[in-house]
Amino acid sequence: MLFRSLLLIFVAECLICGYTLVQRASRPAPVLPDARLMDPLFVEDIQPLVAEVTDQNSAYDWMLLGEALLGQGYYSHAELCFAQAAELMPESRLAESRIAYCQERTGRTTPSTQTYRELLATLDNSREAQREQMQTRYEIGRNFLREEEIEQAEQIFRENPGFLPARYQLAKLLIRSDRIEEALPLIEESLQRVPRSLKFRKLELQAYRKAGDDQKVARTLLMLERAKHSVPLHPGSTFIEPFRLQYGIDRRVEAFNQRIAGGDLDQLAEELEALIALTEERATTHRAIFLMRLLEVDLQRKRSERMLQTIAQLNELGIQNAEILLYEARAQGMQGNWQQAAALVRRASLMSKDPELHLAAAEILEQADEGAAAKTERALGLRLQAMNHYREDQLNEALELIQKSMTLNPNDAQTWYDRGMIQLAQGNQEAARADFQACLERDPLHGRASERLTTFVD
Amino acid sequence: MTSAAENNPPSEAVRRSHKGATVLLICLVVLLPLATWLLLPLVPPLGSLPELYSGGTSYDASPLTFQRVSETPPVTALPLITNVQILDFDQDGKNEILTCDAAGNQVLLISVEPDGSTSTEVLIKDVAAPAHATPVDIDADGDLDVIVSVLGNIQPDDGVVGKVELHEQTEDGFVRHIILDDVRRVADVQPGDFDQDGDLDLAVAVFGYNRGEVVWLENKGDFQFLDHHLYAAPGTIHVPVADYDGDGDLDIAAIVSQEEEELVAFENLGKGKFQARSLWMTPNMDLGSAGLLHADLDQDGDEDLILPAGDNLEDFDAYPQPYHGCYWFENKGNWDFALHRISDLGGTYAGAVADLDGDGDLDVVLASMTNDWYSPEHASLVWLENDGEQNFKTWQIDQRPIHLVTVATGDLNADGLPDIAAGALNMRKPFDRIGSVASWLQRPQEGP
Repeated sequence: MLFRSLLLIFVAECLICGYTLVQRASRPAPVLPDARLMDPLFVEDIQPLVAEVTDQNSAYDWMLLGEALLGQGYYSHAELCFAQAAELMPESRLAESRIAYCQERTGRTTPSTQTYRELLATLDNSREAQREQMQTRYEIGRNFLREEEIEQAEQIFRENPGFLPARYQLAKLLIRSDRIEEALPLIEESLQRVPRSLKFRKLELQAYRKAGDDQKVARTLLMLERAKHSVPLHPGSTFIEPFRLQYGIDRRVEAFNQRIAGGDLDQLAEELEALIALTEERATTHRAIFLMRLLEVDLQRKRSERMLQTIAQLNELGIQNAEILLYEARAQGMQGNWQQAAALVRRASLMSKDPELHLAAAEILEQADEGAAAKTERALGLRLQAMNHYREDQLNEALELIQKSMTLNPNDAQTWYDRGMIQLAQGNQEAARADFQACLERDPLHGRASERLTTFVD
Repeated sequence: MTSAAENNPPSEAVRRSHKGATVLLICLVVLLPLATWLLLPLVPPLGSLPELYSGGTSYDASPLTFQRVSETPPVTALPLITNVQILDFDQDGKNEILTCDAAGNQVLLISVEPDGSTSTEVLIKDVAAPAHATPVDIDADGDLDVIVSVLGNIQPDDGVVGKVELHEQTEDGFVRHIILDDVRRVADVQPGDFDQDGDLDLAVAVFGYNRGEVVWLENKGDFQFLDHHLYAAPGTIHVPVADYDGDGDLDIAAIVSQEEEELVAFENLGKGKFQARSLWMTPNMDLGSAGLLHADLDQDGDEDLILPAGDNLEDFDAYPQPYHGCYWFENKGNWDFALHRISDLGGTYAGAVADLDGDGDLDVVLASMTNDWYSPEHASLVWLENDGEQNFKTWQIDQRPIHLVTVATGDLNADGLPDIAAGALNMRKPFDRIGSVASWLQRPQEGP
């Protein structure tokens, strides 16, 4: 009797243990890109996650691994992680949403739309859910646009009037199909909500162009110069950025950036050298960035020799640009080689529209006793600063700076043209006209000034 | 009646063996769960996830034989080549590769020797992110000058950082003339006598980023140009010049690639006047128009347009899309162009036209910037064989280097066969199969 009972227990145990082992063996291992093709620091960072999903097979860990892969742009690999998370936790809307995103990014718009539609059906009426609905509808609309399914795209954008990017896409479709009368109120209303919106201003330009209204085209073109990119047209991608910053070399860079405020220069240099050492044996865009930062730190530490060594390292990477030439000039200046420094900044000046670079170049030219060239550089730096303010719609600051530039170099035709543009934006028509004429007196081949005078917008 | 077994009790040996089995069973009952518990962490994951999706494209190997020739860049370097063209620049009877290098901010001239070795000469230094170098004898003095389209910044930038520089070739080297300044990023300049006054004017693609324009520069002589605004739209990459309507004067075509994805032509009305014509547009804002070239692909006597599409540099991590590839706009006359898709190469960024196989029709070479580089078989360079009826078969030439953004054809080793040169812009992951300028020398086909 005992024997038979034990036998029964044993058989039951065999079944249970066998099932447990089979179950355990049936869990999947994650599929990762070839390690050789990934940032080694990223590979190092995700090891614990890989071990965790391999061991525990929990939905939470699969989501984390998927997000880590997504942050690096490994969409197909990330999708598999999210799919496993969704299988383990079928009620996870987040996993489904991530899957739809990965499908969309890899060009599978039809299954992506299907997944988004299934998600829409599960959303309630809460405030958060409504926001998600708008976003999801917009993504579906984008998928239709990419499939050139215009009618379906228009329909879903119409269902989403509260979402600015959807209004933009709808207005664009209306303009393309010559429904200007319907598009313009939509655009104007949006511009009231976001007055400096570059995207809606561009649509306004297209609408007026289609309507053949040259006067309004000219006026809108002027406003477009001071518009700002403020309505993101692919807002669905913004969630990825934090994932990217959590792993690999970007995590190290973030950590460095946080320390940079408080750290002393020697410590920062040490940390940068450690980061540069991490990129010693492989190609990465970060290496040049770290070397450039080291140049800045060494400039502040007044280590000219080390700066020249770092510049040589950058040149070995095949990199030469205006910023590097300016650093080299500063290093030469520290060593008292002002003529050499002046020659370098003259080259840098040819390659840059950065006002700060030109102002720094002016200082070096002064040190090299090239007063006239320094004055021209300073005038250029001030003019470029003025126009940056102009494009930011800070017209008073712009005018003040351009006046200073003009005082230093009244012969520069472009300065007169630029001041004319600022005056025009301030509504000083006659002053603007006079400036454009003054520009043409100095440069009769300044086509834009001629055009301003012939198509003057009152 | 009872059986013999019941009548005779089990022997001692049998009882002992029974007892032994019972003890063994007890041990097993205790040990099995324990062993399972201990074994469980050691069980490998034998399950599998669904098949990994790849949107990459690869093709049958080319029946034409090409030998790749390239200099290997340093292991940590990431070359940024923006443009290559094959021509006899120094007029020595041998073709070279005119190259724009946006990392070194210079224009190079690369010579390929018959043995495959290369030598590089720096033609022009200190040009900020040159997108294109246009060789043209602008002053009609018999040598080639170089017009550089200056982006000012290779990264997306809406700033007023671009210009057009004309480098006049003299006996003492190149003399720089800035002929258009204070504009956004400039991507292309093409010459043509638009006003038919006997000198060369220039069409300019101001790519910008969120804002851009098309401009033409009227040649006023002595390296002086008057700028005329033609069109406001961001993302104009190329402005190929040809007589598209066959009326005897030169027109300008332009591909607008940011948000709008539109093909626009500027019909020359004479006396420096142009009429803008929208030839085609797509609602697909992600198509990724990456360039535009003209050629009489069907050899019917008019100029067609060819659009490589697959630019998604605005994405931090770009991926090949199903609509990428190459589109041929067949000129049907009277500004009517019929669209044909002739390739589906993922991430197509550049194209060139030549009769590669010498059968009398025009074939197309395409380079890819963003194929799926995580699978090694995906193509970076292909050619499309024209069967003479404009049906194209895609052949894979190579899968390295990757990230190719520019391609040109021409005879580099003076053997009478068209070769290929391409340049890599290494801005995106993976940083693998890194190249700079590579050439593919066509080898003669062995006879039957």
